[in-house]
Amino acid sequence: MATADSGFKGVWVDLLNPLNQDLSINHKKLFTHVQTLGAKGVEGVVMFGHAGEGASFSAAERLVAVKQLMQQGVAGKDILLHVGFSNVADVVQLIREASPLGLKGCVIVPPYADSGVTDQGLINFFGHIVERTKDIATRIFLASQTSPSTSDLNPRVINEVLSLHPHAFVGLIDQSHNANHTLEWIRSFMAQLPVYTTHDLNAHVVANLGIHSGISSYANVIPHIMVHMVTSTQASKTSVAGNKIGTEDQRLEAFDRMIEHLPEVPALKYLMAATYRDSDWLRVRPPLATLNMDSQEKLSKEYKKFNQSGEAS
Amino acid sequence: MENKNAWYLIEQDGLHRAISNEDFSKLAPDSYVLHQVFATHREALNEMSRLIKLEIQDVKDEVNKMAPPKAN
Repeated sequence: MATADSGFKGVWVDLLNPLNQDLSINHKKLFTHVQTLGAKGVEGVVMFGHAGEGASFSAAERLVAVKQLMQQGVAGKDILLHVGFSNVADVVQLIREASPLGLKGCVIVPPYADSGVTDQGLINFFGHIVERTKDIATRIFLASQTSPSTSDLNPRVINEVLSLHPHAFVGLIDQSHNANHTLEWIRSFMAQLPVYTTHDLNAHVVANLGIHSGISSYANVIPHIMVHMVTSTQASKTSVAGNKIGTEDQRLEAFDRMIEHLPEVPALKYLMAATYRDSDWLRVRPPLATLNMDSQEKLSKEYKKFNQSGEAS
Repeated sequence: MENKNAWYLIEQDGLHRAISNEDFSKLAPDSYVLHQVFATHREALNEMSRLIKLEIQDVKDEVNKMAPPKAN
């Protein structure tokens, strides 16, 4: 069952994972990265989400990584763990195994399926998870998929799931990159549960509604900007030409433009490698691949310009 | 996520420094660039040494680019 004091504030990072040559997680570098983010104002980490290449990691690998971080000094209350799998058994097992660690919570998503998924099927999927974990103390966040699909959450499914299991969930996480979708969830469900967005460009929109919390993949590389965007109450201004005015807004949009045409995770990892001057950060797990040399060279030049413009501002 | 035993690798006035949490907390904001935060002083010093070596190599590469080509 859900426990009290479950929401979170500030920026939580959709954490990238540094990998060893054999593509296992480099736990020491991950801990250093987490500490560095903490010193730059980040409140917590979300492990094995989109940026953390969650789909490429088994339940056992996820659990080991969480335990390693905690052994090195990260508190469980500062960790959210993605436990998404396309079968109920693996989701339930990971929630149960993570429960004693005292994490901030576990994030579940709809199963990825080729076809044939119905609203009732999704309601049953989440119902089975709730039934099989209701005897343990845990906090479960319900998240949408990162890309639109026929098997994603929709308002009817959410309403039905929340109605059937009113105390099972502690928050909704919209992982779509669609501001209107996020606003629709806020309008529809905020009275029942806190709603969080993972879309970095939505951060200020949501902050202007008084919601100063969010999950950010860009915060791996630009934590200061994302902390400012999420925690600032200053409404963003717009010029007569419709362009955003305000240094942090412009910097965030410039950052987004720099990587929007590239696969996000390899691009962010390239920028981490450049920031830390450590090529180990380039590694990704298949089916992702590192950026090709042309993309790396182009991104390198643009990142230098981006950093220089920040120093000048 | 504050760690009171952490060591901070910073750049200040063009120099790299590895400092304790206590010293870090006394720094004026915007007077430094924070690189990374480490669990031990040794790790912070090792990283500082690695970064300095990389920067020396960068300078060498720049100088070599400016050198006239060798006559055959």
